Amino acid sequence: MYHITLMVASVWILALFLPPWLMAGGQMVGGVIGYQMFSIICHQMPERSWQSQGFPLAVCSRCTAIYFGGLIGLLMYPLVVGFAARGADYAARTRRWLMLSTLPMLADVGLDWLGVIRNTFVTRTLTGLIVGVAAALHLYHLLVGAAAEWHLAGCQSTVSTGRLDRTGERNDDQ
Amino acid sequence: MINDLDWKQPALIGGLIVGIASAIPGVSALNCCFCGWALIGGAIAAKIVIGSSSRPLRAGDGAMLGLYAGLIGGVVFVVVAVPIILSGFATDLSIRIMENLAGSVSNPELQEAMAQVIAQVSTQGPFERLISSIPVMIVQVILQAAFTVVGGLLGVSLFERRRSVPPPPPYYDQA
Repeated sequence: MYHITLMVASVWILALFLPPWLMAGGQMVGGVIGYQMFSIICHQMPERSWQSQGFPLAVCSRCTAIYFGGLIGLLMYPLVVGFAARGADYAARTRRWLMLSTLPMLADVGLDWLGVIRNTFVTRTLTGLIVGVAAALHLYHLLVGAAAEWHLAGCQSTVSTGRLDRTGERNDDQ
Repeated sequence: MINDLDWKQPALIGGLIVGIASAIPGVSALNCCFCGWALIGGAIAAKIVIGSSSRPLRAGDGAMLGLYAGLIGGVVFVVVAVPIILSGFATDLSIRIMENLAGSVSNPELQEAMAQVIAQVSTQGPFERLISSIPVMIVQVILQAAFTVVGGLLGVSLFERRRSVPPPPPYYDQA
């Protein structure tokens, strides 16, 4: 499951580069469809987006940073899960990390909105990265828990319908 | 596992929030923040079930609940969005995107090519507009469902304060 999630996250990040790549290659229709698909989840302001081959990426710099942070968080998960679980509930701890990690980003957005401090590519990217890492560490753990529960529920259902005997082997005659 | 919970009404409420809010121009702007309406819909569905269930919800329940809310939200979204697209009330997204891109490109040849595409898209009738929106709508429904699952997971993580009891070991017939 870990490798599948890692692969999905990597493909998702590569997909951010697909619309600019298509546009640069002259595939306007494909490129616009690509941008349209990502417009569901991002405002896509060109002046707030990193560029690739002269075109903005499919999502803004903050979203890009969050997705990259998510991939980094996934890569860190095997290391962090052993370390963080010592002495405290991992889910509770990473939930607290996730909530705390949103504070710099909220401050970055809020102060810019109020006109106190203008945010920059650097602040948007850094605050996004922090949220992405924390979100991946928490959400992946929840996902693993959900998958384990579904697996257990499936096993219990198989046993309760009499399809396993005492040795755990299939016995559909019962 | 979720079958012992009263999940249908909460999933419907969550789905209605996701579907209606995502289809209405202007209101749907919150989706620019990680499909915000999908996250909210999933989390609200989880919150309602947590308030009414006798046992603590687990991550798997939240994910399943989010999935149901997302699927309902997808149907509601299509039902609400199609008349809006046909009526031409919504600003044509592809034109806006092309104009944004044209503004950010310095190559005059590319700008001219984009202007031609914008002119072509601008002359589309309602039916053509609907047809061209289908791929994006399909992707939106899938993404919404995925983010509603995340919303359900986060809802359980944030709102469930009761401790889960480990499930009993599987029953084996001793006879």
